[in-house]
Formats: sequence, structure tokens, C-alpha cells
Amino acid sequence: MKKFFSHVEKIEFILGSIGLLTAIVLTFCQVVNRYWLHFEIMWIADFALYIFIFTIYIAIPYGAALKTHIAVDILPDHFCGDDRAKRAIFDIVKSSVTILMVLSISSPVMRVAKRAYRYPEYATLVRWFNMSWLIYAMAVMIVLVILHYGWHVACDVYELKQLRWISVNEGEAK
Amino acid sequence: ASAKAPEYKWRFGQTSVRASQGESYKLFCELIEKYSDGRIQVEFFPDNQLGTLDEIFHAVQDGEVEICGVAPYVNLVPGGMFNWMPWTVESWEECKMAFSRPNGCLYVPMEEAMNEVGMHVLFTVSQGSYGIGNNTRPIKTPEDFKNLKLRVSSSLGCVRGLQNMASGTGMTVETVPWGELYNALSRGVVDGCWSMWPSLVEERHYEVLKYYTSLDWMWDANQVVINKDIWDGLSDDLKAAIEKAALEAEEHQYAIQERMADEFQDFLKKQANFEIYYPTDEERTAFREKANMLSVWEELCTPWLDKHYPGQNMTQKILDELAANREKVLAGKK
Amino acid sequence: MLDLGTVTTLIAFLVGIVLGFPIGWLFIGSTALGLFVMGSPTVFMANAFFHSLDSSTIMAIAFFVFSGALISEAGLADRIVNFSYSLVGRLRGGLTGVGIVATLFLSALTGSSVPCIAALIPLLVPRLEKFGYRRVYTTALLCSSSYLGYLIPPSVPAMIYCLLAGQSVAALFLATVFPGILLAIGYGMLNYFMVGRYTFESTEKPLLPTTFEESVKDILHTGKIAIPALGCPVLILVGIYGGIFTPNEAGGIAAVYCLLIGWFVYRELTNAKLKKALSSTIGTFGMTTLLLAGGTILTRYLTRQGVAQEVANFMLNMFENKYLILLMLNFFLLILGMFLDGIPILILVVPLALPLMQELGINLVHLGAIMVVNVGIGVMTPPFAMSIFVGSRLAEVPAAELTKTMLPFLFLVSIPVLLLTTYIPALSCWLPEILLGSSIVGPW
Ligand code: NA
Ligand code: NA
Repeated sequence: MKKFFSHVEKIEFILGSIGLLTAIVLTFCQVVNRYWLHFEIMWIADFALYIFIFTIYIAIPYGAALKTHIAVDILPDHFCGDDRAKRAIFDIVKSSVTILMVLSISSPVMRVAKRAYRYPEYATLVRWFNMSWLIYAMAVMIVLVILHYGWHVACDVYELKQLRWISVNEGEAK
Repeated sequence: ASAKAPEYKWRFGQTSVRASQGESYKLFCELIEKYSDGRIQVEFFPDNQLGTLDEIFHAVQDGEVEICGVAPYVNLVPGGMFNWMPWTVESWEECKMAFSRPNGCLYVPMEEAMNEVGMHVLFTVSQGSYGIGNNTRPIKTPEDFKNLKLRVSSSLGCVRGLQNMASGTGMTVETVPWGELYNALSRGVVDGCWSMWPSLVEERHYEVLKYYTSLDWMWDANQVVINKDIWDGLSDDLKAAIEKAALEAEEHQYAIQERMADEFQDFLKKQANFEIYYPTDEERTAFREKANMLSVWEELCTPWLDKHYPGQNMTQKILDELAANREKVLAGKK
Repeated sequence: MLDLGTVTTLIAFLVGIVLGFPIGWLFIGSTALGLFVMGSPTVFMANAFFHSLDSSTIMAIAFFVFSGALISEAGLADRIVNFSYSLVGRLRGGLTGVGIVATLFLSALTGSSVPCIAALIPLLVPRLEKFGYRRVYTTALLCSSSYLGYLIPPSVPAMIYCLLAGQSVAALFLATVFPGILLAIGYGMLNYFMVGRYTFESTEKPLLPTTFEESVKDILHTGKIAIPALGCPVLILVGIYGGIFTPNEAGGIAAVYCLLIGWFVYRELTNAKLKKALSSTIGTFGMTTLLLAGGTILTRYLTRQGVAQEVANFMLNMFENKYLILLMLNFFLLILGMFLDGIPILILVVPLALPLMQELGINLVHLGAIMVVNVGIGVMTPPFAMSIFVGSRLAEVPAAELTKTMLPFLFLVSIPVLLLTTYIPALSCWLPEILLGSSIVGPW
């Protein structure tokens, strides 16, 4: 399991990097082309944006994997202090509620994905590009985010068990 | 209106911030309530309050918002390409003829294209004609496009038409998002762009453009649409009530836009650093012929039309009817 | 006044914040709860999520985040610190003043505040400690200055404001320049008076030029080395204001420029460093985009419920006076800034405040400057203060002590600059009007 998630994270990182760098290079090319080369590549700005939107839907789960989310930790810090068990319990609650919050948008996302399937939309300049793919990417994002938070919960539960085992054994030693 | 609670409570989302369109949309909502005897109540949300154009359009597809006024860009309405073809309509009269219901030569395929994406067309609104502005020289003949760098949108039909008109002149095109256009013009990122009377004044393009040719080479048309499943589920009397409201709102809108086009031109003529050129019929013909629109139709519209109207040679049929409309209008003028 | 659904949403949101739930998802979850209570359809949430991210401005923001991450990895920050050192190191309080000057330079390289702290703390804090400056003071100075990254163009909050308010990015970039410079000068003066309290005897003395000639030589030498690093802001500004590219494209150009400098000029950008920069960039913009999308969902919901109109009417009935309303707006934003990051604040407040501000006839570029300065101050106001989080961790000083040391900067300089920005429109509107023309800025 651990291996699986580190692989997922790695793949997200690689795809995210490729997407970001490609979007940067395309934007750069668009400017350079305007002044030097004069190829007719009107589609380049749109295409860069599509690539970038995929990248966003990779970056959001990657952020979830790294726990880079923004939150106000004052109260949790106050209650948990340095107590690792309390902290693990709080993190379990937090991740579980987050999963619920992600789930709250999952059914609208699935509905929109269904609509995107029923009415495919093609980019105006990149005409082979089915824009519904971007919406499917949003659906994949939801799944990945839930997986990551589920994994955070599993890790915290494991830690909690370990802590309990330690405290029980220490108790026996006394 | 009756005091009973309405059977249907709908939302109308405006996808632009043009107050002049909003007036008629609001009237439309009121008329629906009036003619349906209060059975349908429509709340009007102006100024993109419900979201961006694409967002509201999708909301109508989802049935979450019922009605919206929409520019049928081809990313949203794949069959809507002919709405963005230059030289289809060149006057208000022709616009009204082409989009009249139920038989207008552009309305018929537009309804089909909208049906395909889950919409039904209620009526058409137009902000009138497009011309071409730039900061280098007045454009009187196709040769005047020489070496200009013009901003275009991603509406391929317009781009192809423009490129054909300027072929061999060294003109280049550049896509700049609409929101950045003013800045791009004032900073000289591009030399010019296509524009229209409301944009020249309300988006203040006249401040950053020196020459404007009132070429009437494109004619704006947007549609007010309703979710098709909702429409199909309505009883005939309610449909009739909505259609009656649509007809009145459409007339109201045409009248406003025609009046405003005149007012905008009066305003622009008073501006010191802004020059309008009105080409003669012969000069316009030179642009129209060079645009070679048949080839553009064949590239961009025919595949879709052939798929939906197999064996009917719709492209030619539409173009013939548009030409007939034009002659009728010209004959009426003389 | 408010219906049950809206009240549920707002309460759930506040409770969630206090409990420390991730804010991006909290926006979404609390909206869903409000909709659920009222039995309303939720499908618009997915549309708002998708379309709020379908924008080239967001792409440009990610590019600026990336170039911000590159400035320390690619060796640009070192050169700028050395240059700043030779510029002001000799003045009284100058060694800590280096922090302000270097932040000013780095601000022109990045659109955000965190990269400035992240780059400068490791470079300056240990070095100055050797010369007898207390860690906590140097860190406080850097953390307080960090939101210059928002005020000196490019600026991510400015881009977000313009996206929401439909204003010219080029104009707003210029509108915060004078408030930024004012802030730097104010900090410089405060530093002059305060620095004495935070020094201790140290055996090591800094090697500084003693004569004027040596000093000039030093400036020229470090300046020459810093030229490629300083070239980036010049390129960005000339590009945008010279009409070569749009503010959105500038992000891509800046990123490519930093990459090239790091690879070929300073030759410090190794694969490992690039990986680090990429990883932090992707993580950061994953978080930022989530905040954007979630915030859009909540504001869309509140707009649909008519909350904006209610707030506007309430404020208009309550105060009537334009200056009082602006004061209230600032107060409200500062309070929000204690609990939220700048981006979600803008997403929440701009659509709700815009109708009211238009009714009051407040210039929207000016309003943008007020908002950017205000959310900038948010990075230094506890309990939720990005600069304190990052600064105390990197400098290894206790957050409480750091916060206390930052208070004079907040109350004696930042707040006064905010008030000046609010009540002197010329401070923000004059520069863009001179450079871009009065029609882009509008009447003020
Ligand atoms: Na900056
Ligand atoms: Na804060």
C-alpha cells in the first residue's frame, strides 16, 4: 500500500512537472513567434491553457498528498500540544471530515461529467481536442484526493495503534 | 397574474454585461409571467451573476438554470459555426429575415445545432454589424491590410474570412483575449482588430483605434435559449405564451439595438482622433468577393450540415437564400 | 434577512476554520451543507469549480509562483543580497536594512510573499547573528517586509483582483508601487530607531568598505554580478509596459528567464534543485487553485442568495459616508486577514463588495490597491499569518516572540500606509494614469 501511494505521488509529480513546463514553454514560444518567426500558430495559447488545466487537476491531489493545504491550526495545537496520540486522533477526524467535504462535490462533478460525455465540446482552434476530457480530469482529481486523504487516515490509525501498543507494553514493564 | 404560487420557478442568466440586452431580457421574463397567467415565474440574473458564459450555458444544459442568452461559440455549440461566418447578413433587415422563426435560413440550422446540445432557441438578439479598426491607415481596399498585425478571436470562420480578404498583403493575425484587447491596442501589441459600434463606445475601443471602416462584414447574432427537456415537457398553451413573449422581446431588442447603433455613430463622429470610413457598395463587393466565403463554408460548415441534412446540399441552399435576402433588401432600398 | 441555508453555510464555515480544517475544501463542504439543508440542487458547484480554473490568469499565477520558487534555487537571491549589502550595509541599521532592500528587489521577481522570506531568511539571519543582530529581529523585519512581494509588480493578488473585478492588470500592478515604496521607506526609518534594541556584543565585525571609493567599487562589482538577476524584473516591466507581451504572458517569460539564468549564467540550478522548485510549485498552486475554486463556489452561492445586495444595503443604510464605509471595509478585511489567506479573502470579498463600491463611485483601480495592501498586511497578522508560519520555522525562532517583535512594524508602518492608500487615491492612481493613460484608470 505504502509503495502504491508513493508511486501515485511520484506519477503526479512527473505529470505535474511536464504539464507546468510544457505550458511555460508554449507561452514562451507564443511570444517569441510573435516577434521572430511569424508562424501561424494561433492555437498555441489555447493549447497551453488546456495542458495547464490538466496540470491543475494533478496539482490538487498532489497538494493533498503533501498536505500543503492552508488551515488555521491554533485550536488543534492548543488541545493536542505535543501529545502524538491526540494529534493522530485529531488528524483522523480532520481527514475524515475532509473526505466528506470532497464527497459533497463528487456527485455534482459526476453529473457534470455525464453531461460532458453526452455533449462533447471541441476546442475552437485545436479542433481535435475534446474539452470534455478536462471535465473527466476533474472527476479523476476527486477520486485521487479521496484516495490520498483515505491513506492519511490509514497512516494515522496505524500510528495510533503503534502508540497504544507502546504505552501498553511500557505499562507492563512497570 | 394570479395570486397562486407559480407552477414553474425559473432562472434566466445573462452571459454578458450589456445593459441594452438586459432590458429586453428583463421584459421577456415579465412577459412570460404575464402571458402564462403567473404559472411561470422567471427571475432575471443580469451581468454574469450566475457565472461566466460557459458556466451558465452548462448550467442550462444541466437544467439547473432554465434560460440564458448566449453567444453560440463553436466550443459550446459545435454546429453553430455558420453563426460566425462573415458576409452572411449585411443589414438589420437581412438579420431579421435570416433568423425569423420558424423558417429563417439561419434559424433553421441554428435550432438544429442547439437541439444537438440540449437547447431550444427562443429568439435571436443582435448587436449589429462588425467593422475593422486599426491605427495605421484607413482601410478602403483589401490592399490596405498591408503588413498589419490584427487581433482576432478564436472564431475560425471570421479569421478565415479576414485572412482571405487580406491574402497576399502580409497581414498577420494574433489571438488576444477580449479582456486584454484595449491594453494590447493601446500598447501596440496589435495594430488593430474587428470591432462593433457598442464595443467602440462601451469598451472604449475608439480611444485606442484611429481608423474604423464600417465594413459590415459580419453581423452579430446571439440566441436566447431554454433547456430542451424542460421545453419539451411544457404544455402547448405555455409554449405559446413563451413564444408570444419571445416575439415581443425580440422586437423590443431589435429596436433598442438599431437606435443605439445610430447613437453610437453620432457619438463617434464627434471624437477628434477617430475616423470612420463608410465604404461604397462597390468597395464592399471587392472585400466580399475576395473573402471567398464558399470555400470557408465548405471547410467549416459543410461537414456538419451534410451530416445533419444529408443529400440536401444545405450549404448552397443557405448561401442562395442569404443572397436572395440581400437582393430583396437592396431592391427595397431603391 | 438571511435564509436558513446561508446561515448554516456561514456557521459551518466558521466552525470549520476554528477546527483547522483545510480551507479550500471547507468552502465547498459548507456550501454543500447549506444547499443540503434547503434541499437545493448542488450541480452548480461542479460548474463553478471547473470554470473558475479555466482561465489564463490562473496559468500566469502558477508561472509566477514557479519563478518565485526558482529565485533561491537558481542563485538569484544570493546575488541580490550581496548587491543590497554593498548598497546600504554601511548605513546605521544598514545591515538589517539590507533585508528591506533585498526584499524590494526580490519582490520584483516574484508575485508572492513567501518566496521572499524563504529566500532571504537562510541567507541573512545566520549571517547577521554573527555580527550581533538578534535572530528574532532580523526575521521580524523580513517577515514584515515580505508582502512587498504583493505590492511591487508582478503581484498574484493583483492579478486575482483584476480577474474578479475586470480591471487592467497592468494598471493595478502600477497602483501599488508607491504604497510599496512608502512601506519600504517607513520600515527603513523604523529600523533606524529600533535596531539598537536588538543587538548584542559580537566579536565578529562585518567586512565593509571604509572609504567612499571602495564603496562605489564594491557596488559596481556586486551590481555587475547581480545584473542577470536584476534583468528579470526589468524584462518583465519593459515587456508589459512596452507592449511586447501581456501581463499573463509575462509569467511564462519570467519562468523561462529564471531557468536560463540558473542553468547557464549562475550555473547553480542542479536537477535536484529544479525538482525541489517544481515540487513546491505544484504543491503550492494545487493549494491555491483549490482555494480559488472553493472560494468561487461559496461566493457564487452567496451571490445567488442575494447576500451581496443585502450587505450593500446594510452598509449604505448604516454609514452613508463614503470614508466611513471605506474604513469599515478595511477593518473587515483586516479581521478576515487574521483568519484567512489573501487569495480566498479576495475571492470572497471582491464580488460582494463591488456593487457597493461602484455605487459609492470609488475607482476600481484604487479599490484594488486598497485590497492588495490590506491582504498583504494579512500575511503578518496573527493567528493566521503566512509570514510568521514560514519565518518562525525557517529561522527557528518561537512564533510568539516573532509576532511580538513584528507588532511595531504592523502598527507604526503597515496600518498607516494602508490608511494613506485608502484616503489618498493619487497614491495609487497617479502612476498608472501617467503611464497608461487616464481612460484605463478612470476617474478618481
Ligand atoms: Na511582486
Ligand atoms: Na493574517
